[in-house]
Amino acid sequence: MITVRVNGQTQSFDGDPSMPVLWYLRDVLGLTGTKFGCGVAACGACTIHLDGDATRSCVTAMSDANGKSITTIEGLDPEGNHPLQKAWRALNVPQCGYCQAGQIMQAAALLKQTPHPTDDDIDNTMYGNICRCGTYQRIRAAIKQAAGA
Amino acid sequence: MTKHIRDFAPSGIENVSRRGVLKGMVSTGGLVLALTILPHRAARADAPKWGADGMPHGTVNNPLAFVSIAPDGTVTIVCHRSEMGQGVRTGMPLIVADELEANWAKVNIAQATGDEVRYGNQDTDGSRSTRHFIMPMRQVGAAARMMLEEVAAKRWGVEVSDVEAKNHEVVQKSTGKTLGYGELADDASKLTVPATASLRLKDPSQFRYIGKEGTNIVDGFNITTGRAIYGQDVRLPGQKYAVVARPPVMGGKVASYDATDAKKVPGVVQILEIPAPSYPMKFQPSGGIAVVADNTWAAIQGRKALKITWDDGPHATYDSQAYRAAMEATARQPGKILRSDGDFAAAYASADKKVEAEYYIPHNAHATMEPPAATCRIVDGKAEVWTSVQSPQAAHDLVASYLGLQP
Repeated sequence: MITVRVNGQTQSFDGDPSMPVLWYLRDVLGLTGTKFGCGVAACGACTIHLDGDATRSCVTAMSDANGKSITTIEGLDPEGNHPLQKAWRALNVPQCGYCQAGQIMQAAALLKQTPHPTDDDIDNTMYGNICRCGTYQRIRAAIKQAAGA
Repeated sequence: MTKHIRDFAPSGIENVSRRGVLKGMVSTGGLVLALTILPHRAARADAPKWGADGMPHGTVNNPLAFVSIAPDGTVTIVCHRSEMGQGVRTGMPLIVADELEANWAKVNIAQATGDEVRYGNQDTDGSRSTRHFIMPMRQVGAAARMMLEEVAAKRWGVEVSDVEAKNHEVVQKSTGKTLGYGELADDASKLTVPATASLRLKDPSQFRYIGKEGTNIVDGFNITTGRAIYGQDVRLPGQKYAVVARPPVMGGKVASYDATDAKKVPGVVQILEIPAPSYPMKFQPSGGIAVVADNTWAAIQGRKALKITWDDGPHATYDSQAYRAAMEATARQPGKILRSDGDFAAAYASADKKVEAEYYIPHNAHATMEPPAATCRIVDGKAEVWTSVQSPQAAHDLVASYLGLQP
């Protein structure tokens, strides 16, 4: 039996321990905000926080999450008003939006460690999150706005 | 461009609320409008067909747009085009809202189902949406605005010329009295829709939203909170999940397969062969072996356990270098001249500077972030499908033909 905390709630799972956290979230818990993009940690759309660290849920087995705390885009802020979410909306960052949950989760982990990131900090942290619409300039601007820069 | 816009007239707007076409969608009653552009191509058989006019299912002669206004004043505008990040779910309704003099903060957006009879052409490609639908959308908004004005004038017992719709209410100019859209909607829905020729469209200087900065995308909150529903995100009680092992070569098909090991994967419930489409396949699904399971992960594990022998089909010996050579040779053949202005050959021969270059782009995948997916529910001989497609009507027809259902 695997036990995880998902957005503050304790959950137990007795299925295939090799199942990636992504599919547990989406198919077992119905938390579809975390997206499947590539399945091989190449795009970042599935990014969650595992004990606070930005993690690609598509390649993280449930057995590796045992006893840990998972935060998804749905749990980042109860009202959806994390400073990054507000900045994302104020600057109209999303286009199709498919990557943006992953982008926001990656950026949230960055701001926790580096509250006032430089352009280099942002680029070095966000490079693994692909946006097919090419919203990178607005993503960077929104991170800075959320950081109060 | 002027000509292009004129091509869409004359159009007819009809009030469909009395036909109950939108029953179920508008639970609170109120005004429901639909716009139909009437077929007028027959009289102009020589007219050029551009963009949507030349789509496989014929000319654009039935684009419909819907507006409803609830008694509390909430305006719901249907977007009939597909969102792919181009902002069409904001842009189309915004055009209607502008002509309607609606307060954008009181506007909800509803996504159309795939139904071109009701909504008009929905094949969202070719950068057509705004070009082709700005005028119909403006006409929908203007007609709704004028109907609201007519009701207000009647209620006050004054001429229509003494009233004006402004920011979600109708104002009596001489007294300053106001009536909100929600108070007028029900009576407005009982009126005859004004003829297209009588519509008073705004002068562009009066636009509130069109061409202006400051309108946020309508899906911003849902996207940033993970609530936006994409093709893979539909969840129905007891649903199963499927993945498909597809031919590694386009046009190929399954020669034989062994699902013994795949069936042993915990959670796998069924293995099905999807027949190969006729060739050329165009927009048909490619066929293959589908693994149905309790969750996506089990389905993926089941697919890995399949043993499939493929018949690679007509492209078994496809050679991209030979294909490129054939393409380049074709490109060097004399082309069909559609238009010839001036004397290029003479100008080029006497040019001071000549630049020549050749470009070749190999086959490219669209590489969308979102892997296309669909959810289907079949109850009592009726299929309901949720999916991420550019042409919902085409998907609708294809599903109906596969399932042997009436479209």
